[in-house]
Amino acid sequence: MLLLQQIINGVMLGSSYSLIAIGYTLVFGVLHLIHLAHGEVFMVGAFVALQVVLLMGGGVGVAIPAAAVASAVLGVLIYLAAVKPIMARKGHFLAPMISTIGVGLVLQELATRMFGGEQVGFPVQMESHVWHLGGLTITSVQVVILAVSLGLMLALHLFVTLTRVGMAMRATAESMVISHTLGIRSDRIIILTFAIASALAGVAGVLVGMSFNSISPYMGVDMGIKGLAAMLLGGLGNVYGAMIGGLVIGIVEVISVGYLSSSYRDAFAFFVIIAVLLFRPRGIFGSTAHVEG
Amino acid sequence: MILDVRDLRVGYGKITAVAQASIEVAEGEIVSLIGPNGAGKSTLLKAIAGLLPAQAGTISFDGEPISNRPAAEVMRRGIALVLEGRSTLKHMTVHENLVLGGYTRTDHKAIAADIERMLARFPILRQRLKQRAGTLSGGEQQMLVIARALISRPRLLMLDEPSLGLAPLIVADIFKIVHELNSEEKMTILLVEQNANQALRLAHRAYVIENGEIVLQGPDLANDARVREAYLGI
Ligand SMILES: Nc1ncnc2c1ncn2[C@@H]1O[C@H](COP(=O)(O)OP(=O)(O)O)[C@@H](O)[C@H]1O
Ligand SMILES: [Mg+2]
Repeated sequence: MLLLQQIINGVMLGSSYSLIAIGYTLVFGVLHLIHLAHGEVFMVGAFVALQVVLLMGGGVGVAIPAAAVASAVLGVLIYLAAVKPIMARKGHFLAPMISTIGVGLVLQELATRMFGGEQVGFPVQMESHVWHLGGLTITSVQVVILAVSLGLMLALHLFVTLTRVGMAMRATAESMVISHTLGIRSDRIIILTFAIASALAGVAGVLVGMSFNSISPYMGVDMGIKGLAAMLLGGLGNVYGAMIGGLVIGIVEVISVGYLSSSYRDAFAFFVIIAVLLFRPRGIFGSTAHVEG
Repeated sequence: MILDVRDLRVGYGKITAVAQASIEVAEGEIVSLIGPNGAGKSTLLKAIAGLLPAQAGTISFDGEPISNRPAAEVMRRGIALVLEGRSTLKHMTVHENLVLGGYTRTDHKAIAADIERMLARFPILRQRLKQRAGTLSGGEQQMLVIARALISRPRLLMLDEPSLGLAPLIVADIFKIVHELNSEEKMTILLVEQNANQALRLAHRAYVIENGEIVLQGPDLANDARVREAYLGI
């Protein structure tokens, strides 16, 4: 029973990692870029949601759309200001990634100036029901977190498989040259990709704020690394791999905290990264062939 | 002339791959471009399609200049390029590949009808509809990319070595399709081939390119002594 409870808690935690990992993997898919300010996009989403709720009131229904929109706009601005111009210069292939590190630091610094460096409480509360099923405890917060994150993943799946624009996104990730011969305007698809990736991160910011009841300007660092670990586990560029990778990392993290010690919880993501790079450099779930192609 | 390329120069960095090339294609024609490996055939097609920048010269389509326009815009004007090799989207299904053929169109019902027509024309694709394109044989993938290009309803279809690496029977199929597209549907086609024999037989006119330069052209190159010796091995 304890194990089952831990798995439930792990899935809840991991579903936020999944949302972040999907963003990394979507951006990597179209640009072959590791977007290292993505964790900060997540953090900004949480802070914008906080401010909006403090100003206007409202609950999850206000916080989530506010975070999604703010993060989407921020993500697109990061692409236009800090990635695209640097890629256009065709310098060293690492230059755009280093530029995103700089953006991440600036965003952390700005958030610290505006909100202080301490953790702040996250006011998006909801009436908290607690259900006891046998020995299991499930709260309404957990249900909301799961429903939102799984719902978004399902929506993304339907978008990329059923709509032409979603297909064009996958086509762009697979081959920009072939996409161009089909009339796909990759510049627009890349902007859309940043918007979707960033919106998912912003929503994850609200969900994580709700589950830990606090947020801080540095929350993007840990979460960013866990999202990266989840992406690596799932295989670079593989959206479904990122979904599963996030859940796996969440579950194993909760279990390792349960059986070992909570001081290892953040080290665990690094452990996963190193192990994946050593033993399964292409990720656990399938190929990254379209990344090579 | 639907396509008019004048004194085109295209290169990669300091390498000049196409120099001073001029070719024309009239509506309703099949024009073949033959030449040895590395002569600059693919480079020429890619420059027309907007995938490579023109360093000098002009390209006009339908009387309007298209040089150095983004490839997606050139395609939207009606030029479809079927790239060399098996340029399917290998991770996507056959059906998704076909749907993306109609990406620039908005007449959804007519697209569906066109996909249906392609499946009637290439019945093997119907059996493979839900498979990933990467799982198809080389010949099937070549049929798929031709069908995908046709779904965009191009006014000029450019094919880059469609017969490359295919079994002789399949090659014959591909050339038959090219012929039918032109004779039955009046499709204008610019065909790049190493299979000079077939390409010359099929075409109304042809060009020979060597070292990036057009060295011969005409309607009856199959009877040209130089072509017979160098390309037909007669
Ligand atoms: N991406 C590239 N970078 C540098 N040189 C290239 C590239 N692609 C082709 N070339 C060179 O340009 C010339 C023409 O190539 P290509 O157009 O592919 O010839 P063809 O299609 O006639 O075989 C060749 O010398 C080839 O080595
Ligand atoms: Mg070639």
